[in-house]
Amino acid sequence: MAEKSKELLRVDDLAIIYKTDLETVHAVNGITFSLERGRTLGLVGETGAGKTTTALALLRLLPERIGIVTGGSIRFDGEDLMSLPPTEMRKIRGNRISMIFQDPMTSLNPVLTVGDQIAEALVLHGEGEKARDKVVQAKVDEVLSLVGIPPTRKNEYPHQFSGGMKQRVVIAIALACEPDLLIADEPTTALDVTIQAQVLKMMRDLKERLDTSMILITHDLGVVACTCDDVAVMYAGKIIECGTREDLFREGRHHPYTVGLFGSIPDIHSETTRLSPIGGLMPDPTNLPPGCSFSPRCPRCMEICRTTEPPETTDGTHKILCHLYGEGGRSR
Amino acid sequence: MHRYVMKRLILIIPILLGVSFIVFFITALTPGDPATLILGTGAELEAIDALNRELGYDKPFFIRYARYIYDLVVNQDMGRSYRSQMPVSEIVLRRAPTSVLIAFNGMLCACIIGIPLGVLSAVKQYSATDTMSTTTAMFFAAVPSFWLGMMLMYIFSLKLGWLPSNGVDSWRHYILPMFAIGLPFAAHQLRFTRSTMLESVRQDYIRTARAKGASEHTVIWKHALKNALLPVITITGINFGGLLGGAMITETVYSIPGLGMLLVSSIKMKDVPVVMGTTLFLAVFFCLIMLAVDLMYAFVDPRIKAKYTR
Amino acid sequence: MSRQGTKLKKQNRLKELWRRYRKNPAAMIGLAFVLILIACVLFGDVIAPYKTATGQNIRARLQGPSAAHFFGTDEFGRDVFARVVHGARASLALGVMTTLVALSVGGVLGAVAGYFGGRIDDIIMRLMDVLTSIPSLLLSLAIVSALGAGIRNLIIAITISRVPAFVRIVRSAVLSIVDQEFIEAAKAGGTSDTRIIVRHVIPNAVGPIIVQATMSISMLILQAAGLSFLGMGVQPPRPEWGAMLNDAREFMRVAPHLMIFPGMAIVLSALSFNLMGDGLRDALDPKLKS
Repeated sequence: MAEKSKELLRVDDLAIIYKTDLETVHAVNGITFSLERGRTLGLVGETGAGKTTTALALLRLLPERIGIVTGGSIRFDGEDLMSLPPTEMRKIRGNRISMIFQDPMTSLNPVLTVGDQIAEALVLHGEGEKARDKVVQAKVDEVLSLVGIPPTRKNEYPHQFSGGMKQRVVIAIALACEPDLLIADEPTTALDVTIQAQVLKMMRDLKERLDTSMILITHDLGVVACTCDDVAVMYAGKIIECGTREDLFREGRHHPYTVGLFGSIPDIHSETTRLSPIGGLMPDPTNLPPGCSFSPRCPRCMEICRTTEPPETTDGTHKILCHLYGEGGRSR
Repeated sequence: MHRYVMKRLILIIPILLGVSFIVFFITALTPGDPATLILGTGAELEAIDALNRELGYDKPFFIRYARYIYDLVVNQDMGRSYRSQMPVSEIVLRRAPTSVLIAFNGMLCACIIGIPLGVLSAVKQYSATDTMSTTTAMFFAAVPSFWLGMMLMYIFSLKLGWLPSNGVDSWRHYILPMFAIGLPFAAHQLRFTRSTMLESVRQDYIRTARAKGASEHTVIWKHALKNALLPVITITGINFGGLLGGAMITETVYSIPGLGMLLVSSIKMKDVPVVMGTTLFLAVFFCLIMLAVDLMYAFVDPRIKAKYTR
Repeated sequence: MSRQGTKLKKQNRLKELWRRYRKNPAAMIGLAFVLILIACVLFGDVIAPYKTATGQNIRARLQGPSAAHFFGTDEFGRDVFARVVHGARASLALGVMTTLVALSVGGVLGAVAGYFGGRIDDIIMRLMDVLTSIPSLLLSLAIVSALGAGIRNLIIAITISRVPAFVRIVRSAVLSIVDQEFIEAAKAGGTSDTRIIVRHVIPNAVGPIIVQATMSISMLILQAAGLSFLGMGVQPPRPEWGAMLNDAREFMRVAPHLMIFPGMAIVLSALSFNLMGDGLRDALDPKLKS
């Protein structure tokens, strides 16, 4: 029982498709993961692996009519998010689960002041009646100084802020109601490298101070190494390897894709003449190959990989989805 | 802000010089001379020559144009009508209020019908409401206002007898012209509002608002609409030019004694000073409307406002 | 070899365009009606002899629609159906011709302004500002009045009033392309300006321009009808829809069919070109489809 209350989020076998007149995209194909309170999960993978889709599904913000959850469940703090009525879901969005989007340049409404946009989140979740209330404004000031923006700038419009400052505003909006879970979708990709480090450090500090759990979506393994407690590697809509940060960064058994991913990072200590990128492209998500979806690009591909889906191999907290280690694990 | 308005007002001057030059040039191409028009073809040749000299018609084109501008600016004099010998400014200003009123009515009708329906059909995309209003709009966008005017007159004046068909004696006379001019442009407004609204709903900040937990109502009316309004305001100004043209023709349908009827009859009678005066007035009017549109834009969009107040 | 290759690619692109266009029923209705209009222009005499459109017959004046006269007869006993069919020639000619001429003139000016920028751009655009500050109908009205009524002068007048719009469209299309890297590459490779414009800029701007041109035809059909309605366009006895409507005003009470049929003809032509334009836009860029 005690262990169960430690678990904040549990996603089981979640599957999502995007359906348009022309095609059906299998974006997420049965992923399972959980997140404990106060911990940070890094969701890693190439563009198009289904990371953002997963995040949007957690908030039930998939594009209407097009994005469809075809199976699985999402339990947040013991509640089944999938079956909540829309009004209840709205009470959770921005209040208990917040999201920081990728591009700060377009994530803020250009015609509203940043103060108003922060106040809106507070008012929506019962921190006050109106944006002009003293309580609300005091809280806006507090949140702004928390993210390192002088509260005097709250009456300015987004276009008056730089990219890094805009991202701070976006983070302020997300943190205004002190959420239990913060989802950050590549929060630093659109920023300059120097600003990236600042924003990441700030997010880490804030998370500590507010005791928030976090899902950090990124394709930057450096960010993962310094920020995350747990890591899940996604490929073509599946989590192909997950575990603690130590599990992933330790030498030993890894999914060939993870090996490739780590191999893509240049290492100044070793004397390689060229980088070793992963050959080929992500498979077409409208038409996934049978068996292991990484098999067409896998340097260690075997006969069985092309026909049968790989089993899950578990070693403590470390899980791998690959035929290479199939003998030792139990197949599903 | 004041400085911006002043700057824009000053910028109208070269545009008006250009407009007056073009119209003056065009009317100068018109065959015939003013004295013949005033005195009639039966008049004696000496009398015609004398009057032409008096009117300065014997001078070269550029001198005549320069004199026209000089009279306009220094003496506020636009010349006299060849037909009635009345001062042009008097004729134009007497008729202008009717035309301006009719055009504004039409614009009001276009905006009141077009914009909310456009928002509605964007919000309820693919619904029956959406299909209905976009199909109707598609049709009305292809209807010339003068024909719509005739049809409305036939149905509501001649057949049903609800509304008067001619003239401007009471407010009831303004109703049919208002719809005749307004409905085709309501269709344009609807189509444009719908597409900008759909564009606006797709933006990232709308997702941010949803992620905050905002209700659909707030998302649409607070976040999406205010952004979609910016291009809608611009297009409203541009549409106003077309609407003004439609109104000129529709005046003929309803026998409304406005600038449209004046212009058409003056063109037919080759009454050059009146054509010049009317065209210049309409150009000034249109420029002022565009200025008003730009100011409104600045009022809604903080980015532009910041640029102007600086 | 490579020329053949590009030709093939072009064909495939057209095929793909047609495949997507075909799926859109509204656009197909538009296309069908445009084809009917073209048939009216080409085979007008087969559908209804021109003589019945102009020949007067006082005994059969102002008759309602019947089997002998589908759309009834006018105040001179002329067959309204024949007049509507033959009126297509003037309307289509006006709409298409003016669009083509305005597109060529505006296209050259816009391409030059957008491609070279700087002072040339300034001069051209300020000139266009002046032209657009007179509502286009007013401008064409003034021009027609100076040149005298008639279909040729009407074409000139409407064309001039439409040029600024095309200058803007082409200029912005060119501007959006000139910034792209393959133009830089071509320039760096020493290609001449004219060649870059003709080979690279125009082919890439052609999609949105075709869409605008189609829409413009419908707008100009309406404008031409309006001018003819005021007696500034096609002269009697040649049939033209706008002029027919003006004649119909006097007989509105006794013969409403005189205004209903030519009016519907105007509406349907303008509508079908709009439908075609919408369909082309969606087919050219499926992402924009809303």
